[in-house]
Amino acid sequence: MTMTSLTRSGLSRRSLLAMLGAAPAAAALSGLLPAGSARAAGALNIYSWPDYFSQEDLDAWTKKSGITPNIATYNANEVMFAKLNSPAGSGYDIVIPSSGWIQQLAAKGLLQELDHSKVDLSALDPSLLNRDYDPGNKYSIPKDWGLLGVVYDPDVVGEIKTWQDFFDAGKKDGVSGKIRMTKSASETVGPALWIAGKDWNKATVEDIKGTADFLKDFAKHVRTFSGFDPAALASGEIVLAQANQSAARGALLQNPKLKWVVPGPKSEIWVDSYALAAKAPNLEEAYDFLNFFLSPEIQVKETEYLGYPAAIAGLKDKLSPDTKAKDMIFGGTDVNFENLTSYIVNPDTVDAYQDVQNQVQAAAGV
Amino acid sequence: MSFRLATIAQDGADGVRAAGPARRPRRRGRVSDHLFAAVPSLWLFIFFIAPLGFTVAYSFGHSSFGTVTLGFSLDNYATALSGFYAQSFLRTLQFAATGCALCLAVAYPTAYFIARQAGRARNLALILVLVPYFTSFLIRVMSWQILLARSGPIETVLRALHLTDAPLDIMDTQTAVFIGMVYAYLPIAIVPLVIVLQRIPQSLVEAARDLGASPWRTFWHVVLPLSRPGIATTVLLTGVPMLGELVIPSLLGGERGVLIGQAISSQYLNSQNYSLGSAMAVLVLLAVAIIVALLARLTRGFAEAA
Amino acid sequence: MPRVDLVAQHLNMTAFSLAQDGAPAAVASMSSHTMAEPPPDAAVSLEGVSKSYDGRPVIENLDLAVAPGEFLALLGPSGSGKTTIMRIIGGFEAPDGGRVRIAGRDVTEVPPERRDVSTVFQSYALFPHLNVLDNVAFGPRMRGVGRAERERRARQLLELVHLEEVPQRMPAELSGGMQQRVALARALANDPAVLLLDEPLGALDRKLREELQRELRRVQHAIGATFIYVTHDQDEAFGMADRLAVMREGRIEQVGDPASIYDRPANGWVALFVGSGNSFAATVGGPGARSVIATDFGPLRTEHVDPNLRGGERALVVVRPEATRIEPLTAEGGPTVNRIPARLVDIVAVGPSARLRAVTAPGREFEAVMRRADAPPLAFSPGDEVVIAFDAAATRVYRPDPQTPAI
Repeated sequence: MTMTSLTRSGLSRRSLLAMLGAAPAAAALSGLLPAGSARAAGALNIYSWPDYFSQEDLDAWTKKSGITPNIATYNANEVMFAKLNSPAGSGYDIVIPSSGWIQQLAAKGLLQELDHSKVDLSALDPSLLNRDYDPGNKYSIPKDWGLLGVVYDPDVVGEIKTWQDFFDAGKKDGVSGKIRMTKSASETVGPALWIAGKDWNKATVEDIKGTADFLKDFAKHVRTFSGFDPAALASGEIVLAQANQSAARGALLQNPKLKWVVPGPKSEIWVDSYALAAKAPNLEEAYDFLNFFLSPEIQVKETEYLGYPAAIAGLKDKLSPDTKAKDMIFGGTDVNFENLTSYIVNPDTVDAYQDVQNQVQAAAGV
Repeated sequence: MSFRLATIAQDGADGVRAAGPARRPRRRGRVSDHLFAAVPSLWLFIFFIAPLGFTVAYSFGHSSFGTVTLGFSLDNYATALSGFYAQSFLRTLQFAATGCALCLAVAYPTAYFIARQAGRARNLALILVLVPYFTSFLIRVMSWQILLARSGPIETVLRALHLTDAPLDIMDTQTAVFIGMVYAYLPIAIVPLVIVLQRIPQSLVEAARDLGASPWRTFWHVVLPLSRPGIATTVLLTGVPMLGELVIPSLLGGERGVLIGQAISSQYLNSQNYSLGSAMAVLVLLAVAIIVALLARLTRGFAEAA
Repeated sequence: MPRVDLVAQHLNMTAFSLAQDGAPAAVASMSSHTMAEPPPDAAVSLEGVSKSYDGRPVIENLDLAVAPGEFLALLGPSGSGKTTIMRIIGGFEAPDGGRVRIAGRDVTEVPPERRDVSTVFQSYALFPHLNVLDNVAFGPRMRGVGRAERERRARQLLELVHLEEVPQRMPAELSGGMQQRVALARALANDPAVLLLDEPLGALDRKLREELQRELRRVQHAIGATFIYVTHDQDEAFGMADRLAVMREGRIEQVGDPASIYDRPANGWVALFVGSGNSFAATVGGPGARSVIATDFGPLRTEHVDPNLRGGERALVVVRPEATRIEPLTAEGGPTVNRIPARLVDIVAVGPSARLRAVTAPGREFEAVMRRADAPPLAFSPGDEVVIAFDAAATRVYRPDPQTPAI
């Protein structure tokens, strides 16, 4: 949920890719593909974000395995969670939750533990493995990842280094009313907690509710909570925006005078991850699919297709040298990964987060 | 909506009764009668009663992150009717009322104009009104994002006409939301009005003029009151969906301000709090039922004299 | 120049004649250039009014003057333009040419709401959202009369039309006859100088229609307003009107009191449109012998030949069935009686009368209506050889009319 809205609300990944001039094959990829071909040895059912695999790579796996995977899609972790948590959710093999949801999915018994003897994670970036949302990668394998940061027009906004700078700058004339924030509760509340020196995964309900007044006061400066729109930054309708690095890369390519920063003291890293549904009917095929997509060659291709970095170690050097704004795929060169934290959905606080978010959006209304 | 429900239920009941002992000798008739009664009843159950039943049952239960414990508690209603959510609810009523009024204000003169055209021109005009309705709702709304954007087509036209030299500042405002709402709901607002207006006999207009009413007073004392059923239908067809509207405020209003539809959606999804979401949904349903009941009195047509 | 001929006849027959009840009837005529200025006291006058729809003329250069307090019926087949005339007087249609005056005031450009005229519509046009009282009070309300006063007036009018019992009912709850009365009361509520009635009884059954005809006459006498009554029903027109204007194809064929129109039709078309008639072709006799016409049945005597018919011209002869007798072959006729041998076809008793049909040798059918008390017509039986007889005074000889089927 937290990390999702930046990337997936409003604009789909495909439209971002289209803006970047990525593979036109994306257009051919529909949300739900027809069932496997006649010569298929087995089947594979994937429940994923829309346009989250390149068709070329899917075709390559079909050629290798003889199976055309069925891909159903969701556009929010919440939807995916609700569906897996209902009778309608049986039958899926592979799901792709964001990092924050893996604990809750596992707690509800909706995921099965990975058999590490059947999948090789050795080529993956160690900094993306064994993270707090899934110690020992019991349930998940990183697919790709993103950062929460800020895109802004330095001529109007000045320089931003911290979340405090973000909120201060937002109140200035010329910036007020031209701000984009996310609809994700954790990404709204998180920065306020970080300013107060708190950990968003350990914050109490009182801590979370304590940010409400500050954020509601700031809400009047916000123009939109809708999906990130690079055109609005190009036209000057928006001069300061929360965004992830991939969306920001699109905006920067359109308008090079914009700046991108991952503010301090802390910010977010989210990792969309492969996981196996508890009752996955096609386990063998699922593992085969995972191994294929974790191979370095496919990881590079997927990165170039998606604009989000895959999990393989040393990926940057493997990308084609003429990839535009290559550094931005990884959030720039000066990101301190020590200061990044992943949000973990907690049933005890999820209501409080959403309450604050609703109140902030309401306070922004006229 | 609840009226249609009532009618279907009645039909079903009648069907069952008709299949009773009196018709027993005709075996085939009995079977088909049962079938005719069973099919609507089944649809009714699947599409109306069962979901409604779940929603009502959930609303009295307790929800913990995607798991509902049934029971009887009014806590969810207390939450839904207090503080922030009550405000959202009132704001939504106000929002729907405004949207509906604006829609009516645009639709009525348009419908009046169309209704006064001769048969063929009228049909053509109605088709033109309805054509956009057949394209995707999302696309129709999203196209306004392009039109209303800075340096977009509308700004370009306004600048060319020297009506403004400032950047167009409409996107992500209430104005943009209401423009989108009026546009999206206009076709279904116009049609009932055209139907009612074209049925008002010209002789009634002439009678009013004959008795000394100016054109304006004729409209006010005769045409407007006689179009009340059309107005009520339009209010029903636009106001009620507007109560649950969340796409247009999200695409054109920057998601500023929280309407009850968005609040319900956030309870069901973001908070996985099905019980509170259900309680809010039941309250909306009650509000809709009250509105429909009030409007039903107005939708009753006037019996034709003679 | 048939038009001029007709005008001459109109003037001859109807100029300033007295209407039945003694009220002075104004002149009406076909074309303005032959007509003097309308009488200054006319309640309604149309001067040279024309109207066409899509280039098709509906009213052609029409003049009509209606005296105050007069009950004038516009009688004609459907499509003759009578409703259009009414709508022009009411202000719902603007004439293409000519002037409309009401009580001497030129109202040609005046909208309906500012004309001292009210209409009773064919469909009644009662406001379905208003109760009976509010319907009747609508006119005064639009004219700014206060609630108490307009309701008092409405109740008065409801009393006049015997509907004082139902002021709170909605129009849809009333019978057709009651609706008609409400429409009448409503139209009278503004106390108009002229009341226009467009086939107001058309939708009612015969018995109710007769009752309401008497009612309308009574109301008209009671309030003294001018009534212009459009109808295609002759019984209605003849039974109610002081004067009739018979219309065809946008023109007035004849204006006059009912008796003169029935007894002395201006032309063959009117003669056959009004009431029924036996008609046949004839050739007009020459100078000195104009009272003898040549027919398929041999020479017949007549007393009324259209003065514009020249000797030797083909003509149309009309004889009313009431003036036609069926007699036994043996009976003797008087010197002016025309006798034609025929065979009886049919005989029907209708109340106090008998309707007999007989066919002459050349195959022309005649109808006779005879009082059963006067002669014993029922003594005949179909197939009998009989004689068709009528007096010379009962025949009228007209210029042939292309639309009259008898020729």
